[in-house]
Amino acid sequence: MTRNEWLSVIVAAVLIVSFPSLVGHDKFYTDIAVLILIWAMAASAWNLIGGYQNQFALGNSVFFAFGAYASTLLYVNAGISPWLGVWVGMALGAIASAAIAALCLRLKGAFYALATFALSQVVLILLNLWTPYTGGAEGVAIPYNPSLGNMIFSSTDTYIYLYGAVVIGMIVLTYFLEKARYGLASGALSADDEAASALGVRVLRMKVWGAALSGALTAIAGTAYAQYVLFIHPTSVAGVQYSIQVCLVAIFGGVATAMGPLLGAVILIPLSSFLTATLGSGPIAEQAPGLTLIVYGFVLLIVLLRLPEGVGPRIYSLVSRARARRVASPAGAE
Amino acid sequence: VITFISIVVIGLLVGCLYALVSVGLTLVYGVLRIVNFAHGEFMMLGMYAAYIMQTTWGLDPYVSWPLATAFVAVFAWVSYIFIIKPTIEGAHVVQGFVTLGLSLVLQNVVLFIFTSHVVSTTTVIGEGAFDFSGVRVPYQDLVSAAAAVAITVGLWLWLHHTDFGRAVRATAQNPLASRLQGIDDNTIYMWTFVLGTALAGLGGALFSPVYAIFPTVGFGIMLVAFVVVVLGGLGSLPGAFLGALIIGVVEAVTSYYLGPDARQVVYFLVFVGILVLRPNGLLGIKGAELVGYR
Repeated sequence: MTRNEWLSVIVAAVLIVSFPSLVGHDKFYTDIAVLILIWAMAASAWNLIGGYQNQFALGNSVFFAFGAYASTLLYVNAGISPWLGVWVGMALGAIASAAIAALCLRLKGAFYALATFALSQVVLILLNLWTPYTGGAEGVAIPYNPSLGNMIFSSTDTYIYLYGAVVIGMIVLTYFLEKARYGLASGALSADDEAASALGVRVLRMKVWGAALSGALTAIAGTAYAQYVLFIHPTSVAGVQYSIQVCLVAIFGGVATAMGPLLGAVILIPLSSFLTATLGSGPIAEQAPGLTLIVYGFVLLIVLLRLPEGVGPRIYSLVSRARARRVASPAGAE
Repeated sequence: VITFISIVVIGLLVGCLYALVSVGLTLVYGVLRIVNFAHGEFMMLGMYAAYIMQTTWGLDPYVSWPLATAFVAVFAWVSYIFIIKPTIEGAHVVQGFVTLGLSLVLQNVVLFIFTSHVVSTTTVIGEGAFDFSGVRVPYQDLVSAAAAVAITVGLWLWLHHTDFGRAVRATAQNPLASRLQGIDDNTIYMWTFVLGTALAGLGGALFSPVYAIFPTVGFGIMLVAFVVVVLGGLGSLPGAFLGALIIGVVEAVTSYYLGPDARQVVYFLVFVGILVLRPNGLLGIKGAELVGYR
């Protein structure tokens, strides 16, 4: 990792550590802080295939749901600690994701998106139908019983530090993968996988490994969600909105950048929470249903049309341009 | 046996609606290489247009469909100018998400105006039905289905036997070569998008008497249309029509015998199976998914 990368990791860590003092104790704000971290995890995981391999994955809700359901069902039914359950979820997520990647290997672009989307719908319907195992559409509640072993904490600050550490871990991992064989091979195959294969990149292996890693990391986010909200049901963890939002967060921040997912989450999650709080409830919502999503949709369209490369790369280019200007003009000559 | 035949007939009739929506989707994909996630919303707009014209002017949907189609076409044109055109050379992810964003906006604007109440239109033809020794075929469904068949055939003839249709197919096959022949690809893209999308609106207007109308109705139909289009072979008109009938029947049969939830599982599995085993679909030409409409 370069000095600049370490620097940005430190800035991100300081930002996360300052979350508790920034948001205070109002539940509305602390929820936003924790949700930012959960979405940053999920988007980082998506970024490994969606960003670096340029695969339009629209079915990541499957692995998120596996993570959430695995740890929750093991804890609620068998009393197994979520600290162990999360590994089960990760294993399931990795296997499912690798299997889907192998299945959809030849598909590209929109086809890949459609296939992964269809599979996620199948999983959503199955979660709804297998009532005896999954609690069906009513979902599963985790009894509130705070302790370290149960991975349930009475203080939101603990969640912020724990999840923040995971997010930082994922960012550092992404920086390392960028420079490693994985990142280089992924970059090559996302540009042209036949050419990459001709140059000795093992395309199948890279895609399957990337998908497995992405699936496992998405499952961590799923468990994190379940342990914070303490209530999961199929639409909240396996719904279409999840798969869409996770891509949006990554795209907003900047695809195929390590910092993009966190940046995207920091911008997008508060935006959608504030929109829901101001326009989505109370008298306005009764008179004007759908206003939240109208505004959200317009913001989305404007950002995608004006800044398709994401906010992160734009900031980076502004910063480096400013620095270049400062270097060019002699010190104190302003 | 009578029940089974009835179910198949219902499936075929629903299949005709799917056909109208899918034909537009496959045309747009085949020529512009863009998967339009807002396609179902344009069908929904067509339904609401027919509904408004009935409640305000008392127009029968079977009379007002040209107006409804024109209304949707204008919307499609505006969307093309502001949303599709700037992203036509962009990344798949960006294209996918601008159309998703458009779908979100359209759904919620309609929800804002009409609330989530389910509405419907009525026609003079009414509720009557043919009775073929026990197999009932409602008149309304029959009219809509016949119109769907006529429109698909007309579109096919237009694409194959007029200069403009040939220009559309040439652009789909090779934009650069067709530009060198003096075809303006921007014009082709615009008209193809407007036409394909207006067809969805037309389908919505024609089927408004037999289908429940609500703001999110387009999303479910759009999912089906994707399955149909991939099943038939992306970019293939006859394929889309055949695929629509197959999916209509499969859906009717599974939802009768296995329940409405299983229906979706079955057709999504069919979908994934086809994508994996034969990504070019039933009537698609091998490699057509990369080359475009034939």
